[in-house]
Amino acid sequence: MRGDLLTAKALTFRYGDRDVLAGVDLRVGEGEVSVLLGPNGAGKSTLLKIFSGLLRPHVGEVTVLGRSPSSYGRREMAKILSVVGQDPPLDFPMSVEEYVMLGRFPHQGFFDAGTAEDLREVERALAMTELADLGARGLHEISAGERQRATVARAIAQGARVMLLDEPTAYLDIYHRVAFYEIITRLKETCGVSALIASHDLSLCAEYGERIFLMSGGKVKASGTPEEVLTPGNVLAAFGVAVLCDRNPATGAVRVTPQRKA
Amino acid sequence: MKDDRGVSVRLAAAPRRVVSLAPNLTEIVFLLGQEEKLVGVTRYCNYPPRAAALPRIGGIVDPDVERIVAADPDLLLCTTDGNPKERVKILEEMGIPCFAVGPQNLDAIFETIERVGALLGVPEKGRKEAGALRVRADRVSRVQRAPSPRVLFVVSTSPIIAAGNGTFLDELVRTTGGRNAAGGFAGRYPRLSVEDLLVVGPDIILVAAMAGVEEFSPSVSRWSEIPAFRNGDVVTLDGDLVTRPGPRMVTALEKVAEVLSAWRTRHPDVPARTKGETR
Amino acid sequence: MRGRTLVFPLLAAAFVGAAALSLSVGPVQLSLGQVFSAITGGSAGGVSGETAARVVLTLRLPRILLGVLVGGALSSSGVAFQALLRNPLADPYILGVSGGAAVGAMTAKLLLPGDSFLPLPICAFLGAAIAASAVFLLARRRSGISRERLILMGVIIGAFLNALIMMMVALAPPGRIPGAVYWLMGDLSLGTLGRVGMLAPYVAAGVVLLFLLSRGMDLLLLGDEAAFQSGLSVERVKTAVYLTASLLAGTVVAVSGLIGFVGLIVPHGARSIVGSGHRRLLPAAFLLGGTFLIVADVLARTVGPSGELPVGAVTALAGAPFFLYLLRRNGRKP
Repeated sequence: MRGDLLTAKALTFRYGDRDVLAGVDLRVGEGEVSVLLGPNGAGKSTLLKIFSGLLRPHVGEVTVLGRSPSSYGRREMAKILSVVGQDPPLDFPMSVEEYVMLGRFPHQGFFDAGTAEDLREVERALAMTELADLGARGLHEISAGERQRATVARAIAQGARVMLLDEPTAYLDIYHRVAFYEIITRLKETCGVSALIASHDLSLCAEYGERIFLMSGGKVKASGTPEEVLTPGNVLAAFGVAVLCDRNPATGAVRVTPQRKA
Repeated sequence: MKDDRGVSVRLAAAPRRVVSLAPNLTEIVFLLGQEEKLVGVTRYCNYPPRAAALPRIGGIVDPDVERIVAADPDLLLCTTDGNPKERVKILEEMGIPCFAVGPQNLDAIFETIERVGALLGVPEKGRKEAGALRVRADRVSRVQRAPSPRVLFVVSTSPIIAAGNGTFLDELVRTTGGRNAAGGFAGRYPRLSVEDLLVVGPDIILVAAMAGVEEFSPSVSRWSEIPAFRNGDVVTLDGDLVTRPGPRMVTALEKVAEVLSAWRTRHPDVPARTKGETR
Repeated sequence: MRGRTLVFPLLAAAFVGAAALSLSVGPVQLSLGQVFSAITGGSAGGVSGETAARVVLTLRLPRILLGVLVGGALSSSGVAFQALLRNPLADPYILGVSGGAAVGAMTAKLLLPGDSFLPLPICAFLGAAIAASAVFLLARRRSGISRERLILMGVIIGAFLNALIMMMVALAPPGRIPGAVYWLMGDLSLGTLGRVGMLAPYVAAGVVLLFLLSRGMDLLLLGDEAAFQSGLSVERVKTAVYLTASLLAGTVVAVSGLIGFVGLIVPHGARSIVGSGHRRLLPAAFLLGGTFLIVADVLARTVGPSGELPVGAVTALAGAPFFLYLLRRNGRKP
């Protein structure tokens, strides 16, 4: 069995008097691209924040590489786990290169201004995300899609073993969504970086995800391969939408198509 | 009678209940022997000592309208130099006649004393007192005036704020035969640095002590290039004396004259320097 | 990039130029030769030469040194607060430091009996420290310190302190008020070599500490969550930045009064020269701030026809149009 990267057992998290997570059990293995699939409010972001150590669960147990997230030092944790969230704040001018270089923080000491290795990693990250030409541009000068890629580049430069991605394609058009998932897959294949993607994009995660955790109402309702999880019954229960599930004739992956109301 | 604002104040009879909104005005009323009529003064009115016992109706920039009205005056004496115009207006609109004065030099003070005397129904006394003060002032100005020292009159020692042209303090200096060392600066109260003092080189420094810091800090006073510090000619005067345009301004004049005379005795032949006097 | 290697030597040259200007200019006319001999320890000869040396060394030099320390400290503090609050409009006074220092100084100037100078800086510093601590403690929650709460508490406490100041001015004996008001507007003439010597180690310590935190400040710009997930001990760094920047600002305000605008615009000027990376930004801001304040002080001393102008007035007058220029130059985003 592959090593367990992240596990959660009976995880409960309350916000006010609402159970955002109501007993979550899951296991993410090393070397996989996994997807947390579910509608808004299913608790996906919260789960990611608990894994990264931002939030603490009220009940239950969560481990990262076998230990509780709070048992790690911040830098140590950052070398294991990187997070790709929404756009960077644009209050101050920063170049793409500077921004991606920030990802090297866990590897730097007080006085490291950017060693040769840091520069190499940044270059590599920019190349992987096809931003090599835009390195010197300011963050506010590039498009939203390019900014999202820069955020991924930053996480790549961070060099962690697993990347957590929270609705990363929310504001991207189809071209950039596809490009994004291609990057993730390439990362796994060339660098062995695992990914856990929180998304509600049914079709693309069916195409790219190796393991799907279907969440709704604060629980994991189904987990397994896309074929196992993405059935019309499951999707209807989780999303409240009737769908048709068949195979993509070209790739063989599961294809999910929403049905119009009759 | 017209007051200094140009407003005509007419009284049916001599006033019997007077409120004073400035310490100099209180002193004038006492000088005229009409203190019995005072039913309200500011909290700063402290001279003569009996004035301290009179009922308080607020400050100079913040007189208490309610208290003034409660004192039921038939004349309000105000100064154009500090009393808030809006509140005076309110009181006038309530039917209380306000007589505003703002003398800017000694002659104006004497004149004001005469006018207030007439207003209060004792014109003879007013003329007499003003006359006596005029005599004293004349006596001062006729005293030997050479050599003429450079005098710096400051109202604050940290920062150093000097009395410039057009102030009463400036007039005191000039009337006693001195030259205002701060005369080369624009504005009525220029702020000087130690370097400015070095350039101006005052022979005498007079400090108007106003409940502030009265002494120069040692880092200033140890500059022996400045004659006043070198020779120890730094004199502190009571602030109330020199900042109230009233009868005691003449006393202040006399005191300043004393200081200058004493200086002249000690420095009989200082040449009149012209270098560096103006900027 | 932008001629990286040239920038700091240029800044240093500008600084030296400003210092030289400030040493040579003033009501007492001195020749450049006299200034030079005074600095190098020789004497231009004669009594007036000795006077010249004393003017330069005990009157002008301390002003310059104080200007460097104050201008540099305020600029560094401004950089830190802008990073902490992720707000380009933040300045060192925004979170209680100015109100607290002013209340402390006003207490010393207006209410304490008075002729000793010593209580003033101590009271001002205490006031600043207490106010900044109050803002910090009130803004702290179990979940940490959010910038919204910091700003909110800063505004509330600032308003309260301003009210206190107004009350004190209203109740004070009139003779004391001008001196107090001048302090509020900033004053570099209170510097002596001794005081500069006392101040220097604190400013040095504060600035060095901020420099050590520069990577942390870079990361804070990402936002608290992203910074945390990138490996930063966010709460610790925020606390350290807040305390260091507040104490830096409080210390210099205690000596020189409230000099505004320096901490607000110099960071922006420095950013447009060296970029947002704090490792370069902090030293650049320090140099630029020192230079700026020295020049402002020269203007304050020489431009006013009625003696010295408060240096805070000059920085504000120069600052506002300069800020507008910067905003226009940088296009959409400041």
